[in-house]
Amino acid sequence: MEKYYEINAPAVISEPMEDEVVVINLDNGCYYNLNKSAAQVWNFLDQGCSLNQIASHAAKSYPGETECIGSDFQVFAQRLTDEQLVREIEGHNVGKINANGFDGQSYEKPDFDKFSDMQEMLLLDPIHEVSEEGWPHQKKSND
Amino acid sequence: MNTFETILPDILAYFNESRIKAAGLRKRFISIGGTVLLTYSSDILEHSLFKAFEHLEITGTDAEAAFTIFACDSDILDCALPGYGWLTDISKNKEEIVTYNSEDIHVLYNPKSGIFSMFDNGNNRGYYYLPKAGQLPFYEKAAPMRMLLHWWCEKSGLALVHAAAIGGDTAGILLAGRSGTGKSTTAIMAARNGFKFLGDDYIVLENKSGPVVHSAYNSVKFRWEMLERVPAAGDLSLNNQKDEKGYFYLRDHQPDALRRSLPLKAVLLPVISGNQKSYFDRVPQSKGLMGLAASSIFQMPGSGKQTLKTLAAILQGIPVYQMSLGKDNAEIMDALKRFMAAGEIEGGE
Repeated sequence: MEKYYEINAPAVISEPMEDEVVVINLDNGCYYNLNKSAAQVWNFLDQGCSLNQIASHAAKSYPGETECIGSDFQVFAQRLTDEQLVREIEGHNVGKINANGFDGQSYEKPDFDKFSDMQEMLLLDPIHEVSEEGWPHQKKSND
Repeated sequence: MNTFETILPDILAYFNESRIKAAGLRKRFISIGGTVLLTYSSDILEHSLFKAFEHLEITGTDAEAAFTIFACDSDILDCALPGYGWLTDISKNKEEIVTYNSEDIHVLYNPKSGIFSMFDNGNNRGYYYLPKAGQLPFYEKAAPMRMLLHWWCEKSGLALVHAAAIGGDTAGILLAGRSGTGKSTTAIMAARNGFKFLGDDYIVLENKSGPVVHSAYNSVKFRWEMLERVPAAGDLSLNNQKDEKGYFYLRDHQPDALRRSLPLKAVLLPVISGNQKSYFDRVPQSKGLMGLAASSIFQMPGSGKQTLKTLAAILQGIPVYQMSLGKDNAEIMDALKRFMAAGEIEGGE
């Protein structure tokens, strides 16, 4: 079954840097460094490609690694989901794999480093976003 | 209906009335990647909030400012900012920062400091209010108006980031990473050892035909345990509360060490290693982006996507090194000097 994901915006933001991707979860203070392979998967997911599409494309680039690619990508997508960086969506094929995908040189399991040292900052300074109901009205007596 | 917008006219009227009342408003122009006009409603506010910017002052100008900030307290009109009393309730007994963000207006109320900051995006104006100027906390005197500067920077393609910056005559380097990694200590030691100093905690980055680092504040904040490394700092501190950080203004003691801007040539990520000698390891640029972005974004509520994008663009092509700090101060400084003199910050390994 085809699985589609979308980045958990606006809480999750990301930016490519050289071959890797930096991802920040603004809600919980965790941030991540995605390795080169993970960065490719991330970009393709963001473009609307299904996990199977991406895995098939990677398998063509690394013909000797076909067996592990499928499971590695499944595990990686689950980890992204568990970290609330992406969410699975009901989808259909809107993304296209472009030619500039995996480099085909040596297969690297998609992986990320997670950092949570900023969480304490969020705990120190919790933020209350003022909603329509939250912002104070002036008291009538003060008018 | 957005209820903040119902109270906004009253807030703007309050600030306008305050400006009129403060005839002969105290004005200071500074250069911080653009001309910023700072205006204060009272001497005490000017004294408390300008010291950190003093090295950036532009005198003899009436240039049109890119950004104008007005700061006042309740004394000017003898009453509080409209709606201010309710903010304490909303912030749940001084526990939660209150923010409001729309296309035109950004607001942040910090219940710990009592400071209300508001950025008018359309008019490039910032408004800053607190009940009593005399109650400014030390960290606000050391690094005032951070949120206002952040909003304006974000709009202007600049980035106010959490990092220290030092340099030589022609090149600047950033010391990035979360608090406690040694960047402030390294920066102040560097200032005392012949390096130029642009900031120990917050600086402004700009992409201007190449990345440029601008100084934002000339203050130096330090943890008291840092005195092992820089004992002289203790005598200079303007805050002697040992449960808070100490701070002083470098302009009062070493004005020649200060620089307003330098081309950015490298990012260093200091780590306290416990080794005898300091050394530098080239690391992927993504480590530099993380080191800068994470602590900057989480210290500036409401910032995020744009700041990350701006930082990534600025850091393109800038080499990033992990700097393992040795045990000996003099050795650390020698290592830094060699690092810069060897031209490594020009992009070599």
